[in-house]
Amino acid sequence: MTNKNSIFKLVMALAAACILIPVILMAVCAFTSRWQWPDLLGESFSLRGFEEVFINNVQSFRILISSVFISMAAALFATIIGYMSAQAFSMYDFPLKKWLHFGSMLPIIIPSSVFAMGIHVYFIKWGINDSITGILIGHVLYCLPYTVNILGDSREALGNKYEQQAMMLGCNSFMAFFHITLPLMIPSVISAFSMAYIISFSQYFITMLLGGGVVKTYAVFVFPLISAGDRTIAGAYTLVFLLSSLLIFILFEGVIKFIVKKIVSAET
Amino acid sequence: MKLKVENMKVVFSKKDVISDINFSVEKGEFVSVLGASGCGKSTFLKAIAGILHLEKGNIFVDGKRIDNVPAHKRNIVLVFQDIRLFPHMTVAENIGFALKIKKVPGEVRNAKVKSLLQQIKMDGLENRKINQLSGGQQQRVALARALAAEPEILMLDEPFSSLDENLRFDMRLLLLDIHKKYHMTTIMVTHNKDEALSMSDKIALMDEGRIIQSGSPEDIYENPVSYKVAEYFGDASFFEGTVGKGKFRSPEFMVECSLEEGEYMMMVRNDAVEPTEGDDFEFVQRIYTGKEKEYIYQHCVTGSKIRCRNNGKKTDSLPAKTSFRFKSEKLRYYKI
Repeated sequence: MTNKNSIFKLVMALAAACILIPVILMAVCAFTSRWQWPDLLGESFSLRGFEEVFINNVQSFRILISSVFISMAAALFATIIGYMSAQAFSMYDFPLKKWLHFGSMLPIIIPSSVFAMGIHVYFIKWGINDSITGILIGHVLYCLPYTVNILGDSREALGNKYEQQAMMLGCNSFMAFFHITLPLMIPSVISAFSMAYIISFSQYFITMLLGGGVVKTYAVFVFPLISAGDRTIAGAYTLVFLLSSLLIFILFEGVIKFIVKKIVSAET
Repeated sequence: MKLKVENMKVVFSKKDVISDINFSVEKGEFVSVLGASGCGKSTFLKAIAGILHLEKGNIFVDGKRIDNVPAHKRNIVLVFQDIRLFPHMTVAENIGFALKIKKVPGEVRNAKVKSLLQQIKMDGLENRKINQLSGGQQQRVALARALAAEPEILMLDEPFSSLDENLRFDMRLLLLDIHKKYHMTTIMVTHNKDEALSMSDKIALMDEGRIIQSGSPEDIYENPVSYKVAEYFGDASFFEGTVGKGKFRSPEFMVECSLEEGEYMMMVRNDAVEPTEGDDFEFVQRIYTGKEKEYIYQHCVTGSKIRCRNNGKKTDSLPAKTSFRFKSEKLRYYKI
């Protein structure tokens, strides 16, 4: 048992290291003036990267804010539609259910370039290409497979037994959902939203194609700057990217838990 | 009459799970629905509660038809076999849930929850999480939660099935105390015949989706209407034979009776069997249950078994070989 625990801890430490080391390196890069090979450490401490992000390139902050809102909207729609789909797939039987479930996974099965170009043709026909609406729809479609899967597994595991009990105690379907199902599904909802948000926020090719360069998200704006080769600036932009996403996750989790606590807690 | 069920039929996957059930419960009665696993007892309760759709039939409460009323408006609470306490709520929140839905003011609700906690002997555990409770405690909380809803009819689906013997006994007493205090119309599903016999005003025995006999515990036990009912309650031996010229004849026995001719199954309760002179049966086994001793004998020729209670006699008084006689008023015959 001790051996198994030790191995488990070792594996977890390695996994954490794989995630944290690149982030730490990126953070160090962001705060150095230059860090060239074969130097072991950067030349000196510098805020050049952040000056570039927040002072020299003011529009980056504006694009960051608009990207956050676009991705939050995309994640919200994807989570709501994903939940409704997950509810249907796990709780009901209807014709072609398996095929429809498979169909909901298609955006991640087919190559993203094929997916993006396919819907781009229709967006041009409908006049919503090069617009926020088009990008939003594209992102929602791309995020749906993730939200449907995450929420579907949880919904099926939860079942409808608690809802049935709630009905016995006087709840209609709506009340049973808000008082019982939603609070119990919160961890999955947060996971689905977070996944959809990060997929939308980091989406490059689909946004490039559907936005036509007219509508820029943070990922589209930052990509050429990161690939320019200046690690200090790349590190600064990446850090802003990571921290803004983390802030959104914390905010969303806090808001949802606050709302659920209000619903569940007894009035005094 | 509090509850009346007429011609109920429930179908799953084109198969009749409940067929043509007629059932009634008086106000304040404690009724057990008894039967083997898979006979449709839980389905019957769920259909009354409104969770399952009726293919046919009507349900009336106090003379008003409710089968077309949504489940949450029927004021019938079903406590499920798997308890289903809400895992994200504390004990107090679970118990007070129905009151919160009814928008009962906080002070009144808290007072009611406190009173129910005292009744189920769980004072001081209001803020416990459900996963911190034992099986018995969870069962008590589920019962209190149902009572808080003040239902017109309380239904329980095998409420003691997951509990050990001692706990079952305590929970039975608690339920009976509560039933006596609130005089609430109660329907309990169980497959335990001792529970049904000891707790109920009335028992309905189900088999394959139908009620095959309904009546008081004494009536069902002493006068089972069919071989199936008699066999379910056990505690008896059965012998196949024919009736002719005023006598029941089987390879093991010949008994006088006044039945029309035909093939019959004779049932004799274990406590109606008395040893007598003879050597038709040989001793096989003694069963000691703590409360009493039972002796199993086997017919020397046919191998049919008969069970006999020692009725307070010492072990040594039952011989290795004996014959038996019966108290004729305790014999029952079923045409086959």
